[in-house]
Amino acid sequence: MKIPKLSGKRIEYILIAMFLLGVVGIFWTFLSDFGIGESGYNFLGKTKKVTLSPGMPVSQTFAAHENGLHQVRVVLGNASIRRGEHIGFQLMDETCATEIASVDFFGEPGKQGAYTVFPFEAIPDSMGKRYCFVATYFSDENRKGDKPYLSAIDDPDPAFADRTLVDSNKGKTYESHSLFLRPAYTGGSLRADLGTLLDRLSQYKPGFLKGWPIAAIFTILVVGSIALGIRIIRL
Amino acid sequence: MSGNQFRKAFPSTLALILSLFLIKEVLLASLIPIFQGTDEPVHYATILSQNTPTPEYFTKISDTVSIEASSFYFFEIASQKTNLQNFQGTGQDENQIINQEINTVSVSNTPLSFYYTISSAIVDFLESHDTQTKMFVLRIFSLFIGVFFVFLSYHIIRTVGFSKKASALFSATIAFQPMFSFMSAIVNIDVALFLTFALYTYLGVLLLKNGPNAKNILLLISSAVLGIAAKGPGIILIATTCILFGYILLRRYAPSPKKILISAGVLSILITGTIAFFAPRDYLVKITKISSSSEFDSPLESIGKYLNKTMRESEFRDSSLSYWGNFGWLDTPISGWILSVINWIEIIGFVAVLVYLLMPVLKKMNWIAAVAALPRNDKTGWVPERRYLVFFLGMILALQFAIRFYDWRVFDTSGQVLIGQPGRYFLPNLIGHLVLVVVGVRLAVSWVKHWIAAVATLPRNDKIDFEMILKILALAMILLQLYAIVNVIIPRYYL
Repeated sequence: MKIPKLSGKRIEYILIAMFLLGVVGIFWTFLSDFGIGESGYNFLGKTKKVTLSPGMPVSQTFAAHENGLHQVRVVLGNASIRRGEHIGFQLMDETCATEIASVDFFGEPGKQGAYTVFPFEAIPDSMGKRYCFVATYFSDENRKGDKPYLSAIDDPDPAFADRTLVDSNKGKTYESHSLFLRPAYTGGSLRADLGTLLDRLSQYKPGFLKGWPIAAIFTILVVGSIALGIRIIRL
Repeated sequence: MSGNQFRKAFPSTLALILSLFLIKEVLLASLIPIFQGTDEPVHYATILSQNTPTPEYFTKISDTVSIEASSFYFFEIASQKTNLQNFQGTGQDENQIINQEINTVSVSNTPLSFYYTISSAIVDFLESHDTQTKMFVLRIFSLFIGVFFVFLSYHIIRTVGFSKKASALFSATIAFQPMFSFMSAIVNIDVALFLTFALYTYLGVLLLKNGPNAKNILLLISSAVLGIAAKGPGIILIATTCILFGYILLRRYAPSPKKILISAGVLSILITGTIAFFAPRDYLVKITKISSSSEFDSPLESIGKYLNKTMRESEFRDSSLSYWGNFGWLDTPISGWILSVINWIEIIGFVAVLVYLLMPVLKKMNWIAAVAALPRNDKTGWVPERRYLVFFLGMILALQFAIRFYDWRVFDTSGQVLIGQPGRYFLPNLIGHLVLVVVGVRLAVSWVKHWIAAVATLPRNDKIDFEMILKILALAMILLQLYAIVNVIIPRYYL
């Protein structure tokens, strides 16, 4: 059977479609993982690895400082989950008794930068409330030195006075300790979230860059890149 | 400049590419938090030190910059890839000192560079402005150097024989290379070396194309001297100049072996003399560490241990990552699978171009010659002459040698690999590198088609659209840049 040759115009349309799909894919990925991470504190000093032993949960209580809590981000290491294993993340009430949300990862979880993201339905009135994050690793074999772990600070920090870390594997409770855990929020709408992002982009910048100038430059770049891409295809 | 001359220098597509590059760089200069560009605090402190009368003031500058950097959360963000600036207020609190141990920001010990001199003048002009404004304007200075680099890339590629269309496509690919874009948007001396290498490469291909004349030779030597005045590795341009002249003399006069030996001796004296004349003595001492003593029993032992530590797959991968996209303090990388795809394209391209360059030797091996010949009917003229490809390859090897030599000297005198080979150090040869890879990929595609045709006894169809390959690569690079900004840089520093 003779395979029909694609005309130049058809090839152009295919390339344009693929290019635009790529641009859409980039923004889709950005928006699907979107959350405004808490700021005002950082993870300083020595760090340690809190190993996840099979069936032994690690829990971290924390206070939400905003409304719209919809992600908990943690740093998960050695995260290659083998067949027959999985890692469960749970968001629970402050007593770590009642589950609010949960997710199970049967493969290596996707990452946003250094963080593994645990998303759930947004809690509109989360401000000032305390929650409990629980991570449990399930496996039939003992991987010895190769187990998944959560990164944490090694020493108590006054910035985390509202947090308590419980490592059931070691049977220890650490006051004012924290995993590298950063709650993330949503403003309830894309417009509100992008407004918050723009506010953050404007901080620590010269006055003439704050607000709409950055948004305008970004928009021009995206539109210009698409225009250049189409021009390249049609060259 | 007449209208025609202007249109020749700035075809409309190139003008669009340069305009978009400018906008992109302004955005990057705005997005990357102050001092989070690689080594920015050191370079900023060194710029401030240009006007101080004595080194005693260096400590005062270090302390000042350390405190300033701290108020932008520099140490917190640089120390952990999970850390952010405090966005709860409206921005920097000028009086805020972070309650943590402040590390010292050093002044660079090799302050010779026209980049520092010009930047220092800019900082003086902006004396009454805040740090954010000074840093942003310094970044604007860097990005204009980047604009010139992209402009030169078009003309280099045109000069080696590519069409206007192909040259514009190459320039678009270069303009959107993420790490080059990042380095051109921060305060860092490396961008000065990008410019001098691009200028030198342009003058070098002009010399190869048009032959030697007084103007070409003088300009080439001047660009080599400018390389020394940009950054330490620029000194290798003196050596490449002598080799280039040697090649041109060989072609022109075809001397006897005795004359070649004498010429090589004279060239060596010329190289040494030129370096000694143009470069300040203490500068040479610093970049060669000639006065420091070795930690090893012999140079051979030192070199052997150095190569053992640095010629590893993990080291090459790290270099490759920081060549293509590892931003900030090398803690904000592009995705691993994207890097793997890029690496495979590069390996295929480089191997293919090396096979092509060795073709005169390989043709004696008939089984290779049968399938590896250039397409018979391909009249697009997409392969530059061998001398240009060898020149580009030579520039890459020369810079590798210069950087590894300095890295080895530091290893030799300290016993540790303290600098390594961050990929950004090799960006000055981005133009030649991309030409080699793209030509190599085209060659590889052509050979694979021939082998398939030969095995399947199909008629040979040598027509492969080289410009289609370029278009796909340019589009991929635009997407890679957008991905780097939207999915890597913004989430890392703001979410």
